Amino acid sequence: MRNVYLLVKVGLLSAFGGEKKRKRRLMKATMLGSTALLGALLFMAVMAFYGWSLSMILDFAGVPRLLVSGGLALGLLMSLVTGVGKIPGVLFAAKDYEMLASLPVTEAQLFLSKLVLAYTFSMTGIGGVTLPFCVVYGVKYGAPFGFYLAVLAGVLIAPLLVCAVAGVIAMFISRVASRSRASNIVMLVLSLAFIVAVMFMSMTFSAMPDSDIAAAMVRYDAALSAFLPTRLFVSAALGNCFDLVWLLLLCGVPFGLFTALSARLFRKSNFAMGERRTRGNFKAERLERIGGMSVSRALFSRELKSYFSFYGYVLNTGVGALLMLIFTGMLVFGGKGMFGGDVDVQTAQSVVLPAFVLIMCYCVVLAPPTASGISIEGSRLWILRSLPVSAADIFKAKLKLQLLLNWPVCVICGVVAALFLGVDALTGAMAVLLPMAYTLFAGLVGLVSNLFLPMLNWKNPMVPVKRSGSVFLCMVIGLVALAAPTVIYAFAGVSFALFGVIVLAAMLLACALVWRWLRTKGAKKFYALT
Amino acid sequence: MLEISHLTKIYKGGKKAVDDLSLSVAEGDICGFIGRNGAGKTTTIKCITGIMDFDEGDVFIGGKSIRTDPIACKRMIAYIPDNPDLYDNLTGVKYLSFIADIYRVDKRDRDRLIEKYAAAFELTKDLGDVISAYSHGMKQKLALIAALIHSPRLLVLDEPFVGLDPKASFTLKEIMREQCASGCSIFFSTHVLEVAEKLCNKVAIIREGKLLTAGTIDEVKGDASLESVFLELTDDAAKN
Repeated sequence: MRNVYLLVKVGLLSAFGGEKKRKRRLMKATMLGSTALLGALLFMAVMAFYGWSLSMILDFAGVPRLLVSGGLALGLLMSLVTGVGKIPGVLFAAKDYEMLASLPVTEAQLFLSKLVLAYTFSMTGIGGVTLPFCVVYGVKYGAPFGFYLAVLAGVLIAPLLVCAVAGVIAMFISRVASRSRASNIVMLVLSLAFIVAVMFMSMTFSAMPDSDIAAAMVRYDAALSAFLPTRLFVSAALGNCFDLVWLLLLCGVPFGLFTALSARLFRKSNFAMGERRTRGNFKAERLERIGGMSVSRALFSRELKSYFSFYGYVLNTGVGALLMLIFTGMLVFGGKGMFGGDVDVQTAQSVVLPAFVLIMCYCVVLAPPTASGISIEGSRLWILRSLPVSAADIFKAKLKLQLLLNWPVCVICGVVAALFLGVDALTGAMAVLLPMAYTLFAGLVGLVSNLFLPMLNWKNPMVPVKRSGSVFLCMVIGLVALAAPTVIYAFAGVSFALFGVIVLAAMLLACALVWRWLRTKGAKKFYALT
Repeated sequence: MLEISHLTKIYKGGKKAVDDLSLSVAEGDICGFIGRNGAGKTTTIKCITGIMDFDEGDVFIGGKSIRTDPIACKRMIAYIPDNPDLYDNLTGVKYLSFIADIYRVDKRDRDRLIEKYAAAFELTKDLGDVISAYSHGMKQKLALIAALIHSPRLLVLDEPFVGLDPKASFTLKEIMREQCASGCSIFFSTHVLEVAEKLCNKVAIIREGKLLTAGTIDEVKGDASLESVFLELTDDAAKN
């Protein structure tokens, strides 16, 4: 057991970077630790606020228990989506497998430690979403102490089911992917297809042709009552403790089966994923077919290849474009009613379209690839630095990636929304141009924040993408840049078209200033990175 | 070709990695840069190649300052680090093509040079594979080919023989001689004193960032072996 404990500990430390933090200077460590804690607390507070707002509607609908079942359902869904991306890296293609396998630990201990890690990640996801909802329910309805204990037990049991389901889906995806030479692309397409399918399913659910919110909530409640895990969870939380045993069986049995299956594949799949397909049959005559490119095209082409070859990077930074498409789909298929009943052109221009633009801009500032674009170079940064190209050329290539990912989607979504809502040309143009300007701004700010908070000494490339200060800083700056005009617009009482032109001009000016800084001081900072 | 003038590099925290180092390498020279682990060899090399900023002094490549005209300088240099981390997701040939594009190597020259050096390092058949499938030695060979395909005027190599098989080491030495004969200068760090003694016409010995001695092999070693001179100099410096 000691070995398993040590393996889990080192796995968690490497996942959350605890060891590195300890070595950093106190101030930096405190800052990063507080930022992470603040982020987690902020997320839970947002969830609690959301739960509190929802509870009022649920009171009205007479289904307050939906807060508990809905909290678990949301937690399961989020944990499932992230688990599909996370579990393969933990169980079937662990980067540290060869190193750990060389230690004097048994295969079973190694497997168990990885299983505990996968479970811990799932539990964190479920707990972060479900607990705030349940605490809101407990506080609002004065639930007894036993309620909290049962919820806690449920939150500990439910990840077993997520691990099993996400693990099987991930196994299927990686199996299909491993048959193809372009395995990364296949992995990516299948994972994105899964996420889109889940989101569209929930979208269809929320876009039911029903104007009566209370009736819709009753339907949600009925649906979640029919879903066994949430039914047992709610029943156990509301006093029927025996249902916890059933919940344990329901989640534990699939987990047991998955454990037995993955234990058989553990060693084999870890070795197989470590192997690379090699042909060793390149012929010099093929050189003639490889054409030359200009410097900027060569840099951009390399940027694109690197980006799309890293599954986790795409999943984390391409999510904005994906969300834009999904929200536009919701607008078109869900109808104008999703913004609160049928609307006239005036309301569409002053409320619905601005709200849509706000969502689009939020999507583009969420996670630009530039925020980790320099960190992701890691130990290969020497190549770019030693090349006879300026830092501005390197920044441009990274920026182009952000624009390529988002600008076409901004145009499509903006045009579709403008046509669908039937707004005038200038207002419609703002639906396209404002998200485009925010895309550019987020890309530039991403580069700046990455220059200030670089993370080059990583072992796992997911670390700079998901847990670097630059990503968080960039997101905060983007959100502030979005929140300020939103608040002004809410109180200004001017037309959206006019306000949009002013915001657009301000954003372009900000972009010009940031770019100027990048070309001068940013370039110096780039060559001073260590 | 390479002129290092009073180069000083101080790391955060105050450690002086390179301390007032001055050195010159003429066209056609092969200069070995020798020092113990942590002596400041890699830092000096990174400053020369413009990868790292420095605090004082300057580095001139072909008469141009790396500080004021880094791009023109880098166009003349080829650099290979001690542990070449390359783009794992690219195939060998795509990586070479990327480097050739950046250095604007003519299509015909590029094909000819890739073919020539890939054959010399016995890497031709592996060029179609992704770099992540390469061994350390193969990556080293690929980095060497990438360095040579744009016909640099100054080759800067950090421990170039580490990880190479005996045949590849021999080939590299031959290529280095061939490059020098055509006017290219080579500046490389090494721990292997026998290689430096046999291959270089100049050596420079560094300890704790300070240059202890520099000159032609004969000037530095006199009648003794390079190994004994190196040990004597570095031990003396340690005592002082």
